[in-house]
Amino acid sequence: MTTLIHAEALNKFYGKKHALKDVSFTLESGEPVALVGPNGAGKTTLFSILCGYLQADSGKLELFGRPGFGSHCFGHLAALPQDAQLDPRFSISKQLGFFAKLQGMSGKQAAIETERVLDLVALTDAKNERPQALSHGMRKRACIAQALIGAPSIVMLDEATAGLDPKHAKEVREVVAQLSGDITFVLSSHDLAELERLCSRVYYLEMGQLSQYFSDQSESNANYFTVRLRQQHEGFVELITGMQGVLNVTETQDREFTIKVAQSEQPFDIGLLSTLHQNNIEYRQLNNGKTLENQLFSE
Amino acid sequence: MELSAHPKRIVQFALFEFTRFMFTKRGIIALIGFTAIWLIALYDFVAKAADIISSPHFADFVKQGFGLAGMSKLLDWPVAEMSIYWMIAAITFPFFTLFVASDQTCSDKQRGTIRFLSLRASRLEIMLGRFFGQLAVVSCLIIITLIAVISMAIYREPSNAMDAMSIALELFFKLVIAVTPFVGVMTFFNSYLTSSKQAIIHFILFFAVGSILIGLGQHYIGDFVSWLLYIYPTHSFIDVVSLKADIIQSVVTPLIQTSVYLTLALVIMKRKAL
Repeated sequence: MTTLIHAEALNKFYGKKHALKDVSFTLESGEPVALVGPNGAGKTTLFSILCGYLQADSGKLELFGRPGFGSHCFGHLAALPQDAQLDPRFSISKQLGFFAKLQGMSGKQAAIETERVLDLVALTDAKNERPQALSHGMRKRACIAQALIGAPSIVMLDEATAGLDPKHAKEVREVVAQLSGDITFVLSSHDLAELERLCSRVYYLEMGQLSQYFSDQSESNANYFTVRLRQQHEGFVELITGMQGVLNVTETQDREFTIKVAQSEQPFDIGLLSTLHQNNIEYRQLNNGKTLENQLFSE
Repeated sequence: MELSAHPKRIVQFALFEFTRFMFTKRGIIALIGFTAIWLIALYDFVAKAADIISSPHFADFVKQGFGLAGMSKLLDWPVAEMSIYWMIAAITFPFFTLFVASDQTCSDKQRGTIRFLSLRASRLEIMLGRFFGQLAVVSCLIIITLIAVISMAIYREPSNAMDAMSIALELFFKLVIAVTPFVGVMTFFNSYLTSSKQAIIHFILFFAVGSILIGLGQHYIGDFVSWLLYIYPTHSFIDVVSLKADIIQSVVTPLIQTSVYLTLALVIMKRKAL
C-alpha cells in the first residue's frame, strides 16, 4: 500500500469561523473511503484543500509523498468538485478531450480516452452535446467522466450521486466499485446507505474536526448484527434476547434492531435466520455489524 | 502553491483560446464587429488612400492627431494604404483587444470550470496560456487586416509589393507589442473578477478615476506624479501610435507594463481560492 495523502493538524479559518480544526489523517491506496458529516462540517473545505483550490492556514499536507498540491498531482489526483460545471459553450467531448491533452495525451489518444470515460458513465451518445443541452444528471455524469481521464491514483467525488436518478446513481456506484481496484476513491455523500455499500473506511467530520473513524473490521463494530423486519413484530426483542449468546437487543429505528452478541465459535447469523424462519418473521435486511447510520448517530 | 510552468500545457491553453474565440457568443460578436469595421475601413478609406493622402486637409488632420514628427513619418511611407491602415489600426486594435481579452479566466472561475483545469495545470500555466492565446488571436486578426491592405496596395500598384510587405512587417510587430499590455491589463482584472463585463467596467474606472487622481496629484503635489501614468497601457501607446516613440517607449515600456500586470495577476491568482 502506498501513502497517497498525509495530513497533519490542518486548520482553516473563514473569518472567525474555524472551518477545519487540527485535521490529521493518512490515506493509503486501497478500497474506497467515505467522508461524511453534516452540512457545514467542513467536507468541501477539506476536499478543496486536498485539490489545491484552497490553502490551509496552518498544518502540513503531503500528497504522493511531496508537500502540498502541485504539478506532481496532475493526472494522479482527480476530483469532482461540488458545484463545478463544464463550459456550456463547448461539447462535452471537446472539453474532456482538452483535459486529456492537458494530461499529456496526443489528439488521437485524447479522443480515445474521451470515448472510454464517456462510455463508463453511459454518455457516449451525448458526446457531441453541449452541457446546457443535457439534463442535470447527465451533466453530473460528464463531470464524473472528466475525473476518470487517464490513470488517476486517487479520485475525490464530492456528492457524486446527488441529483442523479436511481438508475444512473447505481451506474456511478458500479463504476466506482469496478474501478476501485486501480483507483482509490474518496467519496463524500449524505447517502449513508450508498457509502456503506461502497466504502469499508469512513472518516467522520463534524464542526471541522475529523473526530471518528469507522471500518467494517473495527472492534467497535464486531459482534453486532442489524436486522430490519418487513413488519412490526411484538415480542421480537424478547425473542431474540432469549437466544444463546445475545447480550443486548436495541430497537434503533422503526422495525430495525441492533443485536449485540458474545464472541462465539458458533455463527450467530445462522441461528438468527433459523429463529426468524421458525417464528414466521419476515425480514428485509440483515447486516453483519451496525449500519453506518447507527455507528455515526446512535451512540 | 507551486509556480511551475510546462510550455506544452501553456501552448494547449493558448490553442484552445482560438476555439473559445470562434465558438463563443462574445467571440462571434467581436468577430462580426471587427469584420464590419474593417470592411468599411478598407472600402471607404484604404481603397481611397492615395486620394486621401494627397488631399490638403489630410496633412492638417494628421498634424493635429499625430504631431509633426508623426506626420512626416506617415507621409514618408511609400505606400499610401499603409499610412491610412496605421491610423485606423492604431486606434481600433487596443479597444478591440480590451473587449476580446476581457474574459480570460473570469467566467471559468464563476462557474467553477477552472477547478477542472487546475487539477491538470498550475495557475501560472492557466494564466500564461490564456494571455498568450488572447495575444495570438489578436495577432492573427492583425495579420488578416494587413494581408487585406497589402493586397489592395498591390492591386492598385503592383510595384508596391515589396514596400508594402516590408512596412506591413514593421507595423505588425509594432501593433502586437502595443496591444500586449492591453491583454496584460485584462489578465490582471481577470485575476480577481468573475465576469468580462466587470473586467471592462473596472478598466474604465481604473482609467478614468486614476487619471483624475493623477491629474490632481500633478496639480497639488508636483509634476513627478505624472510618472504614475505609466500604470496605463495607453500611456506608451499614444507615442507608439504617433510614431514618435523610440525603442524604449515602443518596446521596452509595453513589455515592462505587461510584466507588471502579469506579476500582479499571478500574485492575486495564487492567493485566491478557486
